[in-house]
Amino acid sequence: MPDALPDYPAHAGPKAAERLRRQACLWEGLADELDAAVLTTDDAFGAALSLEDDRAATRARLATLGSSKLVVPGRDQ
Amino acid sequence: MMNSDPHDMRIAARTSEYPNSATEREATRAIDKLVFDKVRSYESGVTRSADAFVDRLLEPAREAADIVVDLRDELSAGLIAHELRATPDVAKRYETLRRTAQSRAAELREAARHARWRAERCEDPYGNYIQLIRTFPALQNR
Repeated sequence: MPDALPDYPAHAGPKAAERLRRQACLWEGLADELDAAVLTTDDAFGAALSLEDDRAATRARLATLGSSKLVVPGRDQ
Repeated sequence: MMNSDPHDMRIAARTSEYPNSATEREATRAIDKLVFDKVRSYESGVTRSADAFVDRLLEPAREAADIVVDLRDELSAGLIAHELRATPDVAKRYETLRRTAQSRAAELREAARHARWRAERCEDPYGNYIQLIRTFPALQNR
């Protein structure tokens, strides 16, 4: 029966494995941050465009009101 | 020169007949050293390759972090605070950043998957070396 084989004394390998796994987590986190930043900016654009539309509609309404004749009951009839 | 499976050689060294225990100790030590030197060389190679892989991703990761800042702190915050308006120029800038962000995110996720695969190679250099030699026996005499 052979004696148990002595284990290979690993040197830099396990440390490199630890560094790689740490980097994998960092990169995944950064990818998630990129996705989140895109969504936040999408929403911010949506809100800004909605505000622009409201302003444009308000300006158009004001222009219509400003150009229409003011009818005073009793005086202009 | 090794012509058999390195792990099996180590086992064989311990099951062979020797004239005395000193000779047996010497023979098993010599075989272990031969195999361990090969594994050490393999381990150095995979860890150097892993370091180079991580270093290659430093700049893309830095650029990705900059894009997050541009999107979140410049565009998004500017729009929310009404310091920026949704003009065609701003929309064009956003479109460029958005496309780059999505591309970088995919690249980083792929890099993370690859990093985990490399980590398995690095963590058990002996086991991975033996597996490599069993798959490609011609490599062990390199």
